[in-house]
Amino acid sequence: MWLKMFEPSGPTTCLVMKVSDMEKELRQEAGKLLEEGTVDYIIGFAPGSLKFTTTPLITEDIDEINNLVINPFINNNLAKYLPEIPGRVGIIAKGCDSRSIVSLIQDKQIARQDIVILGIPCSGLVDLKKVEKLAGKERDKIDDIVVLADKVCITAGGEKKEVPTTEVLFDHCLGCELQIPKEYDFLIQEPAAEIRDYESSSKQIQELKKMSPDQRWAFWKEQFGHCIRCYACRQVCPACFCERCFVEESQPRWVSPVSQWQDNLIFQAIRTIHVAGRCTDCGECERVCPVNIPLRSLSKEMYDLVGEMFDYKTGMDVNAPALMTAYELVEAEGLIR
Amino acid sequence: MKQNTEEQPRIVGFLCKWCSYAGADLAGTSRKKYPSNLTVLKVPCSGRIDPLFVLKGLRLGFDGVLVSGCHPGDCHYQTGNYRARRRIVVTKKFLEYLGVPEQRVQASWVSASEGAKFAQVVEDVVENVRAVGPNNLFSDEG
Amino acid sequence: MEPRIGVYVCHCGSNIAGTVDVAEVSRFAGDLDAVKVTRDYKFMCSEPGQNLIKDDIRELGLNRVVVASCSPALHEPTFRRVCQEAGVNPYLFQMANIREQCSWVTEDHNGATRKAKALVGAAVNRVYYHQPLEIRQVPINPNTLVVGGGIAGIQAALKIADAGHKVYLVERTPSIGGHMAQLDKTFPTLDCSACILTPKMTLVSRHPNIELLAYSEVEDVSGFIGNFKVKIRKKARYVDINKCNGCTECENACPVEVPSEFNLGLSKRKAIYRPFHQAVPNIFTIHKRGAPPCRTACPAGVDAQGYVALISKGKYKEALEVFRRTQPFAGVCGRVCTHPCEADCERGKVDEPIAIRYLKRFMADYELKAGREKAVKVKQTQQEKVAVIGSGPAGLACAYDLIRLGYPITVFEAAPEAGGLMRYAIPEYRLPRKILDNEISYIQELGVEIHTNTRVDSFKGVFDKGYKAIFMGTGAGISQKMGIPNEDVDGVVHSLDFLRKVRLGEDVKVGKRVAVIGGGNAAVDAARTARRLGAEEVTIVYRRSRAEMPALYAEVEEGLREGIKIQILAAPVAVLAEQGRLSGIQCIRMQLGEPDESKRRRPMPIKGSEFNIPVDNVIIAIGQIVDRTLLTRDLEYTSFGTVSVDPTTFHTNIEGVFAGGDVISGPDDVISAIEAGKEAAISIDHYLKGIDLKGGRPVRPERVKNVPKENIVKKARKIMPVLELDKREGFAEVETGFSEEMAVEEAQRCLNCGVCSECWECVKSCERGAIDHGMKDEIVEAVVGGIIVATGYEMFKPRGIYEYGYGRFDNVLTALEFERIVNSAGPTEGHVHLKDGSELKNIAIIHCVGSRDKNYHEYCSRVCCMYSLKLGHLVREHVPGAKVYEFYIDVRAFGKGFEEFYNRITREGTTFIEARPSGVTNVAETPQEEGKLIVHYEEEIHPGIPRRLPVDMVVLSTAMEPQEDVKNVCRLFNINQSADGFFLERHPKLDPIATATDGVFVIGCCQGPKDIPDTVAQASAAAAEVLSLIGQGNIDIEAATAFIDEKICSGCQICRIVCPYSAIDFIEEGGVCRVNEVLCKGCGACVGGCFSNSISLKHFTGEQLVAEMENMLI
Repeated sequence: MWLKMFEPSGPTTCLVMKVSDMEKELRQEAGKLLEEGTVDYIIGFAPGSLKFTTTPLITEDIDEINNLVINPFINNNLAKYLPEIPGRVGIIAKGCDSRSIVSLIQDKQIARQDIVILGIPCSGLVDLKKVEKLAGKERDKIDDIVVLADKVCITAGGEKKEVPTTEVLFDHCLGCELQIPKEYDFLIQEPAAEIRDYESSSKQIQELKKMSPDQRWAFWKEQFGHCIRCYACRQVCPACFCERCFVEESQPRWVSPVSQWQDNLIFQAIRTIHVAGRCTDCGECERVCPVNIPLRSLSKEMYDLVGEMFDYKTGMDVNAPALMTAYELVEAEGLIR
Repeated sequence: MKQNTEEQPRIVGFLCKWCSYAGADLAGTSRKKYPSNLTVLKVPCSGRIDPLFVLKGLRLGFDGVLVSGCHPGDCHYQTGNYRARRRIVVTKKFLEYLGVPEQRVQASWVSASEGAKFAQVVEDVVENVRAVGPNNLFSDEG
Repeated sequence: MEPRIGVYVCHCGSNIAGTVDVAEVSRFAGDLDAVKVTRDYKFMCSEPGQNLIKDDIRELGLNRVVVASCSPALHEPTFRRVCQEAGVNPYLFQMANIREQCSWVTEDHNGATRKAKALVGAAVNRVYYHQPLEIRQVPINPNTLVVGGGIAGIQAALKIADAGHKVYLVERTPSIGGHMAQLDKTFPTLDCSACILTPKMTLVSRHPNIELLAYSEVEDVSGFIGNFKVKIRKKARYVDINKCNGCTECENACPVEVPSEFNLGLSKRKAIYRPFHQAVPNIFTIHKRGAPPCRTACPAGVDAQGYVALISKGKYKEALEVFRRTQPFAGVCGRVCTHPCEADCERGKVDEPIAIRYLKRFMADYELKAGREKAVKVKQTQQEKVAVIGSGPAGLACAYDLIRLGYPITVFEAAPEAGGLMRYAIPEYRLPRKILDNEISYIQELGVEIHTNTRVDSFKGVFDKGYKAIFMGTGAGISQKMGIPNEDVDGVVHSLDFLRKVRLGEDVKVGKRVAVIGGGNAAVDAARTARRLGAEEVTIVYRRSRAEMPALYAEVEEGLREGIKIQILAAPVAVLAEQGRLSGIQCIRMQLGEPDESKRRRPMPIKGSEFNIPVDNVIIAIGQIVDRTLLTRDLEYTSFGTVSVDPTTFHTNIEGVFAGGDVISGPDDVISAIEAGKEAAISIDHYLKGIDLKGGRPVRPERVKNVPKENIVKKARKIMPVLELDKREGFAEVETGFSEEMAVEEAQRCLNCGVCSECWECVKSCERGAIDHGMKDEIVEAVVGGIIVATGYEMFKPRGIYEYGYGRFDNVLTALEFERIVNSAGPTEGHVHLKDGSELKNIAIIHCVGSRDKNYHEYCSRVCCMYSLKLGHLVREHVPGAKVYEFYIDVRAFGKGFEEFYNRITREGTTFIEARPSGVTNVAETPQEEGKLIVHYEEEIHPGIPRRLPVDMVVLSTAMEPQEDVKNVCRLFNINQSADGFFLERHPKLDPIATATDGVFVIGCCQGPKDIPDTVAQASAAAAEVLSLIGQGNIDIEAATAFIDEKICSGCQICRIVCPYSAIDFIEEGGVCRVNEVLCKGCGACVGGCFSNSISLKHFTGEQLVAEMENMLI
């Protein structure tokens, strides 16, 4: 996919990208959907105002279709917007997005027939924080990021640096389980390069598991001391669709509304339990956390836990029952007296 | 910081009224002896139990939480205990990952005719929870 | 309204106060928030205790009440009523359980007091948040379900029905009556059980208000008190209840005998049976356990159990009729079938499988010997002509089935005679031609036309002659080549050609030394034929080991006896020729590797191990292939070179042409070819009638699962007699067949796996046409207001108590077995004697077998003492002068008239010995003990002195125990079990027949062991309960239901999916869920699943539960 488009023709920054064949195909298809009235809205990605960023584009205007882009910075899990948009919607979906969409369908938050899924293959997204660290410079000072199949060229201040792609992709992308959507109405037929590093993908979880329970608790206690209860994690998560979060319940008051680590931790613990079987490990919660709490180390662990215990993989099958609505006659053996 | 005391551990038990609560009653009528550390809340079905109660119990300072219902297949409400099982084991395993010793969150199946089993469960749970000491999870110190 | 709480701490005499410092708890409660008054009192549940609360409510303006006493299971209703009577909503009450879960479970006073405080504190904080709830009412359906047709169910049903209400009485066996019907006399009055029971049974059958559903089982119960919805499965009896008049003709005709359940296996009953003469309803039932394995294993589905059963009764003609229902080749298959039926025969798990194939041969031979009557030509009812190409087993089986469906059939055969490989490949000494001729004539007599010497060149030609469908059964007629040098040299022949020439009577010469290549039946047939033609040294060369040889085991054995040699693990690599003349074959040694697709181990050549065998002839028998040059080129073939057909319909790619047999499968056995012909016949019928080929095909019946194998005496399988070696001249048949006596004896070994053998003799015997083997189970749905469960008990099975010798010694019986023996309608018609018929002089009756015994049941079964005394009395009544010894632990004569009965029996001269015998043996130490059973015991009053009592018979007074499937019944009706396994009543004293589920009552022995008077009393009581319920007209239902705050519902519908009562609806408009309060039972599964907590459960709200938890920590 896009790995190809950055390839030979000299330095290209992401801000002034060439329109790739994939984008052309996508725009054509999206335009057709709006034109023919098949959908009322298109949700996709447009270039962001800052360097190396994109922003969600929700539009009913056919002229805006030409702003649709596909590049390694299309972070947002657009599924989040679906339940709020009326009418029929065409949505651009990476593998992980498609899983969230399926999960929302399982949870009856959206109806399959109201959604047109425009699937795109994805080889992983670039974590700017990692790039900044590798370049030793902030994003403003970085001139160019060229992603090739197995390596990435970072140009900053005339200095060019080559690093393996696995070092700049998001942790969750390194453990991706669905590069090409399984559920779609239209799919851009391009193969996706497999860039994986399962070990780095859940490195922190493995380290935590090596610790004693006390040490782990101390770790999370410290982390949630930083939490400012901005709820950005909840805001960005497609699986958090409650009309009213339990945090806001006053009879009884389950957790204090004031930010203190105990309640911050309980809030996140319950949130993670609530999204069990809905979380697709899209990593958005961690990406948006302003105080850098490693939230993915909670959600990913839960993801693995339900996978192991109930053989459950979120969003792989529209017709499967949601995790908490199903049971097997025999399961979780040995955990109950 | 809480220290070991004579009253410790304090354990809250959520018992479904059809099987486990009746089993606890049977333990009483058959005069089985078990430690007084567990106090019981009666709920209609283990399916009523939300993970929130487990965390709330620990936040309030209970040293352990026990959820007990009818054996799989025997739910008075047909499937409530199957629902409960998924919720409880997910909570238990996840809290364990956070650093809550697994002994603090326990579940059991006790039928209305298992008075002796109920006494044994309490015995075991109390011993288990005592082994991990008082609940200082939410204490600000240490 | 500001909460004003009163707290009442009960002493319960010393039950609570003995352990808990009640005054301290009361003081503690006084300091709690909103508590206006606290009191402790000796018995809160007593009238004065209740009045304390009422007075306080009135005088102190209490609006919430907490009582700390026993379990709410006991007195919550009491105190709720107290509150209500004093004007406080009953839901503004909370109970703290400080007895069952506090004072009774510890001896630690401090701990108990602390715990009581925590429980009271929690209750106070909880009740603070209680909301008044309104108890709602629903009308009660006046119908009643009674489950179980023993005396309990009968009594309850009659009482309710007499009061004018409808009763569904469900009984799972074919007749009502239960255990009481099995009893001879009843204690203590000694009246005849049948005399007092059967009139009641008759009343049930005639009662206009009782719908008797015998041979039925409750399958599902939903709903709640006043409105239970029940599904009852009426099992198929295969006998029309309205036509059967109980004449017993069918029973006489039925060839199948199995142990009678009613007589506890002491006598036999038929597959079509009536448990006992006075059964109600008094009609017959056919017992079908499932399809016997012999039938399910047979590719053609031949009903072997049917003809085996009939042979066992000497009904050979009828047996053959059963066989011919499926296929015409009894004589052929009786000789050459590979008999997969025997491999699956359940008798094989006991000793050896039934000789099914030989029995089949027997009945065919029997008919032939007696002279077969000409078969009646089938009337043609269909117009469409069908052509069958090839007259092998596939073609003829297809023709046979189609002619019987009324189609005109013509068979075209290229060879001079019909029969295909049955005629030309199987040697005379295995299958004499008269056998085949007879069976082919039979088919012809039915109307099938066979044109021999007629080769068909094209399908088109056939269709042009007006045939509407074609079956192609042309076989696999080309011998496979080995692909080795000199294969075509003179002296090398192919087995099929060889055998065919011999069968055609051509002059076939063989040399002195012959090698046969291959390991199948064709190889063995060729080898033995060569031997018969004069070859002196015949060697079979086979590349695997003996165990892998596909030929029939007996054939190989006979071949060896006749002097055939087998060279195993060898494969030919070249034919050796000298001057164009065969001189021998070169072989290479093989070894066996990993198993291949056929699951046989793959042979691999061992390098350099070549060796030569000098021979004059080589016969190749390594298989045949299909001749693809036959007929049309348009026919599609598989990659194996066989004709390609649809695996279900056997339809080829050419419209209207079906194929089966070796032409589609490659070389296979006769029975598989018959199967293909039969399946194709079904397809052709569908095809000609224009119906879907795949739909509506007969379903293969399910194999019977559990075949009981208890009490089966091992008996060897009959061995097929064979011609002595020196008498095997020419091609005389080697196996000579079973004699009539052998056949009957062999057939009697059959276990009757399916019970009913579907021989249809009963159908023939029933003049009223009441029997319908195609009957299906029916589901009856009913709505009832109340349910009475009277499912009874089982007798303890003493086989587990090894030392008492039950099952090992003939004359050790259970009490119920003895009860049947003394009964004049029982297996011995009331004659009491020993198993071998000799006279009974003395008898020991051992009490408490399985009761009052830590190893089995700790409880007392309550009836054994009295029935043991009764049996002692009956022995003396039947055998005057017999000595009776009763071994007892205690004699419990607690009932009305029991003590008097005990005294009477004592006076009659019964000897009472206070002892629990340690065992029963048959090892005599003195001449007096010879041939007797010896009871070993120590008297309670002389412990340490071992004693021996020789007796003729020992009766074990066994315990009553819960029915085997008690757990399923618990689940079905939401009943709990007590520790002894019987159903748990709501309260042992004050609510002894109600259960935890409102509207469900338990009566009789399913609730616990009891005698008939107690059972009948309970049954009448249950009738009163139900009538009281019906009389109320309405019933209060659960007020603690779930409710949804629609403002915050996100419409995810998890609640709707997890609700077991379908009590939650999704409201499209608004996209939210809503609870139907009438259906909601208040389990709260929905609440636990709702993450936004938009559902709550009244009386168990999060707020209330958290409040309860919070104060528990004080």
